Amino acid sequence: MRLSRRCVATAALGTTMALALGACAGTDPESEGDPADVDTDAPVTITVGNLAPTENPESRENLLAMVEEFEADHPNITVEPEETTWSSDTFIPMLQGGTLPTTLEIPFTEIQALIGRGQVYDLTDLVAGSEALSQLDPSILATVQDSDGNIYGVPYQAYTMGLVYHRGLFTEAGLDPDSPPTTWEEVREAAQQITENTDATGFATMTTDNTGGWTLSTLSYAFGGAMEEVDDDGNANAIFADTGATAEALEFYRTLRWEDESMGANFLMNQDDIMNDLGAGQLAMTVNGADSYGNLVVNRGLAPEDFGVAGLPQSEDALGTLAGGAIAMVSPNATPEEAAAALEWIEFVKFQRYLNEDAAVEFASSRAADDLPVYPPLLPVLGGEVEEQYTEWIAEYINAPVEQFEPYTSTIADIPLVPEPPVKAQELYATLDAVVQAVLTEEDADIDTLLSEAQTSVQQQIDAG
Amino acid sequence: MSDLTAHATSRGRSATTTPDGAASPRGMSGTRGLTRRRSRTPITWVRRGGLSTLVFMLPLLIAFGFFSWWPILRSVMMSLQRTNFVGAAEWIGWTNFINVFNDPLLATAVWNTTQYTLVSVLIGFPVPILLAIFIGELRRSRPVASVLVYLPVIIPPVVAVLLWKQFYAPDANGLFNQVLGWFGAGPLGWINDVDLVIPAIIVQATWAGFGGTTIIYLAALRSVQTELYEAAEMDGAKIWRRFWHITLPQMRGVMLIMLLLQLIGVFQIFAEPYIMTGGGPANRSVSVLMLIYRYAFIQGDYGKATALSLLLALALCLLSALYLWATRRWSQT
Amino acid sequence: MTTTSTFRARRRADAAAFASERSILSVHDRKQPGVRVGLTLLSILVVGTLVLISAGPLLWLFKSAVSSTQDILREPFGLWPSGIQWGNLYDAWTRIEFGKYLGNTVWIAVGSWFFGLLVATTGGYALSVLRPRYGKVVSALVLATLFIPGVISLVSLYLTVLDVPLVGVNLLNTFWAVWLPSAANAFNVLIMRRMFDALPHELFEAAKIDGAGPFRIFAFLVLPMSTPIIGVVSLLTIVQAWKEFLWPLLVLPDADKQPLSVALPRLQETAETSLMMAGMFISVIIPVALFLLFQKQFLRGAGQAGALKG
Repeated sequence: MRLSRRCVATAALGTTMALALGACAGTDPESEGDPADVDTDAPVTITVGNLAPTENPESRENLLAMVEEFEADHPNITVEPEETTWSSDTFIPMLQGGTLPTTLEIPFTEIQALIGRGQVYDLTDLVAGSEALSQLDPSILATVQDSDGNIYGVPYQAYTMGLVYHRGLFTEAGLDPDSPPTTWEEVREAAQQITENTDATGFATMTTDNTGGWTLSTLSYAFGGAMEEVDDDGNANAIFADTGATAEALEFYRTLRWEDESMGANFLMNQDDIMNDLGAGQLAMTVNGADSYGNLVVNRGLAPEDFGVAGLPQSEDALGTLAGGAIAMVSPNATPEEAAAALEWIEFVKFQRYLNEDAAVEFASSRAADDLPVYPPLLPVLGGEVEEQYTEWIAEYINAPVEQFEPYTSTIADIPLVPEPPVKAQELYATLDAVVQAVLTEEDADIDTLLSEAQTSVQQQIDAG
Repeated sequence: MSDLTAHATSRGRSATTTPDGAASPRGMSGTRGLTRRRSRTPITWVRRGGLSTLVFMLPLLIAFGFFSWWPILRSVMMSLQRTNFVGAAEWIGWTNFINVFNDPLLATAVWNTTQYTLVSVLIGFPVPILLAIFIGELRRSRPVASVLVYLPVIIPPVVAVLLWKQFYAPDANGLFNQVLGWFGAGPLGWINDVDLVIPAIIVQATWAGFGGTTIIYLAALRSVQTELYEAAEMDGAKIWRRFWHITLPQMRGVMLIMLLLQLIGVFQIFAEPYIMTGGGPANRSVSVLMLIYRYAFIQGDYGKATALSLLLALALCLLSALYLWATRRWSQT
Repeated sequence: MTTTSTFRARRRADAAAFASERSILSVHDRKQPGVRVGLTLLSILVVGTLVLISAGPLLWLFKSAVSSTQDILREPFGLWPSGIQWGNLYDAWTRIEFGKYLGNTVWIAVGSWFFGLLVATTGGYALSVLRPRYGKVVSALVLATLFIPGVISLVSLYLTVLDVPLVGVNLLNTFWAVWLPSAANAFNVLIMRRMFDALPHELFEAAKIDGAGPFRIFAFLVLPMSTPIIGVVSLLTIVQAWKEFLWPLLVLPDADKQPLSVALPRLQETAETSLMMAGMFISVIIPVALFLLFQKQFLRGAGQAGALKG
């Protein structure tokens, strides 16, 4: 097939972020036209998702105000905000039922599967034509590209995985919260000390809803092994059982769980459970997105002074730390006019504040007034200079204890960003959830057998296309 | 349900009343149908009440047409298709079925479902029978016992599952672990333990369901022919023998039916593992229905999901056929 | 007071009814001292166990509904070591809006009941009394769905709800998405038909001769004569709707429309344990109160359901 050969030719691992081979199998929606044919002045109505629910009046009002402002600037565009948010189990129904909003925010993890199934709009030409968006950091932009370099979304926020910890518990256990563990051995020792000296669990990991596999992949990178590899012929191979790094990561879990007993008693935890435990001071350390501050402080009751985050410990031959973020996508059912309007909107909502001082101040001051966290972006999506300028603009409104982020921010330059597994990441995560759970619940679990079985299973899922 | 089919078949034999009036043997309605067909025009059809009949039939036709018959038909088609819901669906033959069989999780899910079934028969089947027999012998405390038995059935099932999830808390402070602690045992991981997770889920499901079954058995016990007991007493049969030779045989039919209904139910277990464990730990509580859910609503592979649905449905059809055979058999005796 | 005295009289009548009916043990057996002691012990054992097993979790739920989160997690058997927190109930009602979810649950049950009965009674009437020529085919098709387990169409039914054929509407996030599919219940239709078959059809003929049309016969003869079975089917339908989990989970992703069964597991992820317990308690008291008030009807219905299934 001509199409797949083209995929092969451009495939290469590691240098660019996602390489969805699945993308080659997908059918491109027919709707995209030449941007030259698009009449950007014609009246058009777009629906936009992620309007905050009424329980969250400040954010809701904020977005509604932005809609008004945007419509004033673009008289031909009508914006209809709605409360729809991304969830894998409602996406297909919305697509099928024609109720998918023109643009919606989705996590990094989802976009490649959508590209693979042809369920997202090709924005390549539109992004190229936008001044702000063409400044996007290339390594982050790569997450939304297929192997041909076509762009299918706008990444507007990025984070990497870090070691999130509870400073109060560190102090209580006699550890220095300003010098968190920097090696896995130190993590182990800290977990032991916390378990001994406090009522809290020393270290815990998420295990359900694909988060177990996600965290395990993060640890594997930190121990020096990739999860998948794309060979010269463009075939993706699951390799996590062969690298030894994933086994090392699991061995780390096993030691903490069964030898030190510093991982608590509950091993069926999703992200909410882990965040709740951290917020309630029942858990001292976990591996999670380094940008968990807002979630922990606003939703989980964590005192701001107890939040700590450090760069993810890296073994000698580590690959780096797993990166993720959020993307604005455009519905595959959108007309070219709608897509163009949607992109204007995304630019306005997500990037205006980085490029315009008034918008930056307005954003930061209204958040600060609502007691929502304000702090500089941990991981710039629009080159470093833009972000520095932005940080200056918002400086007086910063209300988060930025110095507590230092153990993390000081490592950003040194730890490379590693993308998620390029093919069938969610399936890989789901398969590894079970492996993580097995290691944590069965003392005699055979790590090598579990991994090789999981690898076979993931490979089958990759091959099934 | 049983007698429905029994009825359908016996109907041909018995004399039934027709709308035309006098009771007539079924055989004659055929000739009547013939005469009617000859004079059939839309006007006579309306005059004979055809239109109002259709009006009465309409809710049924709409409900079943849209929400039962068409989806079933569509399932069969979808199991042979691949679609991304943007473009047109593509016919792909047996690929979905092959993918289902290639999924290593299928074996796990089938084995788990078998275990659910076995454990549920072991625990959930005898408890209501024994309880019904005991309660059946009680006199003054019987109303109280009946109310208590039925109480768990009244609790919304999701509340029951969440409540038990709390009881099964794996740390030493968990409710069940504290009870074990009084006897110097535990703490156990319960739903965090690969070997205990299925029994733990079944115990919860049994708790939620035993009341309904017990009440049904109690009703069945009342219809045991009392003359048989009296006759047995004349022959000097003691309590145990009366139970063994009269009560049990008379209950056999209901017991078989309840067992099959239970099997059909457990084959489709979903909410309990979904809420309590999400299928963990280590996939040890993933059921077949959960796998279907994952295919469709997590992985977005609707073709594969319908293919597995068809396979599960096939297994359930076998059970249903057995059930109908059993009900027909026992309602005749 | 009159109410208590009639209540007592009723209980005495109940006891008399039980006494007159025999079971494995004969009246003679019951007079034996050994059997009497054994029965008393059995009575204590059975009732005691049932109190522990059936009522115990409910009582614990009540205790936890007014306990602090720490107490629930650390001392599940402690009786309010940090004092009774009545505020939990208020907080659960206002902050987590359990009232809203309870309302949705009731509304779903009421709609499912209405449409379920509408289809079952009209369909049963048409098939049993009016009997059109195509009735046989319809009966057979309805019966066939009894054999075909619901799981087969889970996915396609879902897609049908998203885009109802011919009409082209999307029922997602509307209660219709729960009501209408639940109305296509073959068991209810066939039960109704069977019960209508057993009614004296001569009566309908007589009414017809007197000039009553099919609607009058349906409304004034058939329905009133079938109230017992309508009661049982109502009970079954409502209980079924009350318990439904997977289907509303799929078709009501909007939190404002969700019934308790769907909302509770979701809330459990984020809500504090004490509020969760209070909310669960709120969702339990209404059905339990209804049950205790109408226990006889419930138990009779449940027993009859068995007779129907058997």
